[in-house]
Amino acid sequence: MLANYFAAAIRNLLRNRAYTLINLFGLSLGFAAATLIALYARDEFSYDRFVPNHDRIYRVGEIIEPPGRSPMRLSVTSTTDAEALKLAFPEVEAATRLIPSNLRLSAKQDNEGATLASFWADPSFFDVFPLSGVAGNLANALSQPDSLVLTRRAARQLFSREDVVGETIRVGPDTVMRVAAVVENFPSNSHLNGEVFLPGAASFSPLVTLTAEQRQPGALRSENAYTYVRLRAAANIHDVRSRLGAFTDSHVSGSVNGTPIAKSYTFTLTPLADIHLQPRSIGDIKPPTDVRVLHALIAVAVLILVVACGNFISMMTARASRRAVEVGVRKAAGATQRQIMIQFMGECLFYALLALLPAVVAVELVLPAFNGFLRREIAFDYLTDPRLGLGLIGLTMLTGLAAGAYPALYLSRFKPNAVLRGTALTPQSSRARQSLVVAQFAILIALLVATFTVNRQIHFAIEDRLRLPTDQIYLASEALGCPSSFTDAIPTLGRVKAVTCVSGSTLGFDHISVNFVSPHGGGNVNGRAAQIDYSFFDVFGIQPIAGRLLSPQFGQDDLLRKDPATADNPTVVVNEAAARALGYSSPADAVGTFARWQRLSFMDGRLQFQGQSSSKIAAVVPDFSIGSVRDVIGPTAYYIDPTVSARMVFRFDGGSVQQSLESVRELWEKHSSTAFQGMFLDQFVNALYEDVLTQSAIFTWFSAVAVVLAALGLLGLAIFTAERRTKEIGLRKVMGARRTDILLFLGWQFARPVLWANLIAWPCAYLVMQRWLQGFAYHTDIGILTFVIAGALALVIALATVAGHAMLVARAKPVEALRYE
Amino acid sequence: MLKLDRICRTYRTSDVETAALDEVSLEVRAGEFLSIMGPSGCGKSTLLNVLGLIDSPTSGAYWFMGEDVARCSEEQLTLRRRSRVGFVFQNFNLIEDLDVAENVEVALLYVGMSRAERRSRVAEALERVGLMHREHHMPKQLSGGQQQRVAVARALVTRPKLLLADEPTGNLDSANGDAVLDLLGAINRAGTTIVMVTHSAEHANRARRIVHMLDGRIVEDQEIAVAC
Ligand SMILES: Nc1ncnc2c1ncn2[C@@H]1O[C@H](COP(=O)(O)OP(=O)(O)O)[C@@H](O)[C@H]1O
Ligand SMILES: [Mg+2]
Repeated sequence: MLANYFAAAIRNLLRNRAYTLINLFGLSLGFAAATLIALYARDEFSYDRFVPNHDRIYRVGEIIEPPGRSPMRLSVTSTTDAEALKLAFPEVEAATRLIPSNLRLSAKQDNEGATLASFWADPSFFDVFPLSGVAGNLANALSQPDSLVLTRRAARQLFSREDVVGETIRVGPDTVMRVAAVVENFPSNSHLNGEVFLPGAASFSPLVTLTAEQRQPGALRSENAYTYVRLRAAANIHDVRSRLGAFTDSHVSGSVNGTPIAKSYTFTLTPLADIHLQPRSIGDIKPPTDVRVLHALIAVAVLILVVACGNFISMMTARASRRAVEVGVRKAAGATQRQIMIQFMGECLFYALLALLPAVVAVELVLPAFNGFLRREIAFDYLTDPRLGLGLIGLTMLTGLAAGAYPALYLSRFKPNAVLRGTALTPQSSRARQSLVVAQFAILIALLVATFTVNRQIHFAIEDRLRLPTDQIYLASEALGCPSSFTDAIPTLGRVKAVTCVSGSTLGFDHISVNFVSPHGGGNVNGRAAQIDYSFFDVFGIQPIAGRLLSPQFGQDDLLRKDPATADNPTVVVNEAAARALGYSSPADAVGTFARWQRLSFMDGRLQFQGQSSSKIAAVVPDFSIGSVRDVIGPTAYYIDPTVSARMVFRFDGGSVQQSLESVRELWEKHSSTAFQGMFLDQFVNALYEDVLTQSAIFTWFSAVAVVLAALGLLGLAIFTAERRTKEIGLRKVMGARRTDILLFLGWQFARPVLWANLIAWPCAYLVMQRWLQGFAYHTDIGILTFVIAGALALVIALATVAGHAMLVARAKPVEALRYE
Repeated sequence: MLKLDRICRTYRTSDVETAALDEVSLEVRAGEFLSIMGPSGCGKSTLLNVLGLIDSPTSGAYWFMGEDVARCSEEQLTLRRRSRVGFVFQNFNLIEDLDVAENVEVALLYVGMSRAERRSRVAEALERVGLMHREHHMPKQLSGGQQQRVAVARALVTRPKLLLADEPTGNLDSANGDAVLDLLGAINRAGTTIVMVTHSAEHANRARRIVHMLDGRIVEDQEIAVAC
């Protein structure tokens, strides 16, 4: 019996070669796309699950919510928290800390060196994260102050080999350390990316120095370390979390303006495997993935499969008239509807499995590029990974059954007497087919709108908001500082339009607070301190909305340059957000008034809040940030303060930027023995939106897949319709219709479902994308044009797809058309 | 063997109701060779379909081999039809995607028979219609007469008690038509009851009984003396 079915299936397949190819190609494409998305999603959900006991390991984080400001999430904590947690919670079995290092490392002979992702780590690090060792002894590799651990990749990069235990490495300008062990690389699906682990026990390690600083009485809490704790197997995490509040109150000391700091602190314990899918926080090692984006991608995969299944259904039923005789004969011979259904379901399964093979090959071929683009190590080991293999087969079976159910039901329902008379095809079948095409195009249009919107938002974030030549602005690294002998010599180069020296807080790399006393009552206004020099506004092209910018000719502006230790405050320039928060009804109202405020300054070698004093607001400038459009730009106060400004920002003059940078580098090397480091603003911004850019690319590609699939579906419909209408078209021609009449007639037939599709797609796409945009504090809006363009594009795709076929049909001689049947 | 008692079959298309069979009563005895004649559209095919259990009457009673099947569900009809009824159609209705032997085999698939047994039955049936040498040809490669002989083989391969033929010679020239009719005659002589619709008076005369229909009714039921 199977042989008989198989013969029918195979010969039907061969007889309709074009159909079959289109059909299988569509299904394969759908499988391949869905498999890639599934692999990606699986990778995203697999982060850090390779760590043994990952379900007991938590990263300690903080949410800081100063009065009147939106909360800040931090993935770093103070260096003292690990030990305090261990003391306060007997459930904590082990705690370990990491602090990133940007020291240059070089193997003996090589003086250039390399900056690898390095961390200062506690000796317990490899106890909590037991990477498998390749060489050396991991157990106490980090307890010596002069021994470090490399990953295999780092060893290769520094020494071009892996057996480097015992070799020495120069760390920074003048320290030499010994390689105690080489460990396996961190896989790409880890939130950590360390290549080098430096001994936290070294006397100059920030784990030591910052801890000492933090322990001084009255020290301001600062967050620099990644802290991980492993709980005992029997520990109850809810129990631990419920006691964190009390821990905060006793552990976080100090107060600002009479309010205990502890009030605005919340400690968080994030399970290791969840870190990658958390909302962004300050200090993230890798940008986390938004789970909603993953869900959207999975939805896209499902939609693609639905579209592919739709085509399959459409094709199977389109051939129904041909298969009807077979059904009729089998039924007359005593086949039940169930038997016929099983036959056709089996046939669909067979097709699905047939489509799986090219899909697997396609995934194999595309995966390296996909991995390269995403910087992942996603494997497609369907042979050795039973879950993957079975998943693949399961997906195929499921798709085959889903796609086969309707055709099987449809075909098996033919009444034998009707079939054998040749009147089996019911008109609903073509309506169902039309609805399918409408659904497919609706999905396509919605995906196009999504893709356009994502790209518009990226354009907005990168171009429109900054309105700066980001490829001509260079951010030097903080480590360089701003030696005046160097900055003073810059103008002699003639290639640099302006250079400014600012604090990290100004650029949003870290956060230093200011507190304003609101002149109109209503408590304090907490904001960001932006310590700058006079050319800052020039470099970033910021013009005041009201008032005048800072200038050395006004003594009060220059205050901190003359007397860094003064308790008085210099003149400030505030942004619009600050003017609003301080209660001024317009920027102009704020200008010239005096505000009472507190700033942080270096005293006795550490940052401390000064007392309140008042100074004049010289100007109000527009809200500005080079940071992410996700974050709201808060109140910001700009003032001249050289004591915490250590970052140079260069703005080149449009000419050959690389040459200009080269001459700056040469000039630097005359003044300093350290290497010149930094990055262009466009690199920084691109890194900022790396995840969105990735999402955009993924959505664009998979939209393209959906386009192809929808086009295939329409092609199927075209062939089907033309086949059924050859007679009708022949008759129309006999009665005097010209070729253009036929083309118009056919064009309208195919344009109609696309127009309907718009009606469904537009509101759905609008709602979803509106929500997506809401995730950004600053975003474009979805213009009506986006919808119109998506709709028009879909229409063009539709007409282009059927044009060739319609042309053939329209050109056929009427006699030929009528000769069929 | 078959007994129709005031069978009606009406078709409803939007608002027009056609009575394809209008209170038809007819008895067919085992071993008979019965011809149905009548103008196009008078309900011959409908009658044949009802007789062959691939259509159900709207009203009336139908005793099929001793059992009233007028109210049976499609599923029940299918089970009763299996291996008891064979069909031959005017337009052959061979499955394009199957070769000659496979087409004949289709009739045996739903009877529950071993592969070997099916093979020998198929071979036997093809032998009988004289197409053994075309076993692996596709239907397209055969002439109309040959295709109809394959259809006859398919109809008799289950050794049915009843064989229904709807204008089996309608699409054939006279030589081929005669050949097919000779076959049917032989099958009937071997014991199979045959009901055949035909337009040809000559072919109708091969039967021993001719039923004339008009507008869904039987207008004449004529027994023919056996021609020796
Ligand atoms: N599926 C159907 N739907 C509607 N009317 C039908 C259908 N099948 C047959 N008829 C009508 O029933 C009548 C008898 O048809 P049929 O039995 O095929 O006639 P014959 O085979 O004698 O030419 C005709 O008038 C025909 O139009
Ligand atoms: Mg008829």
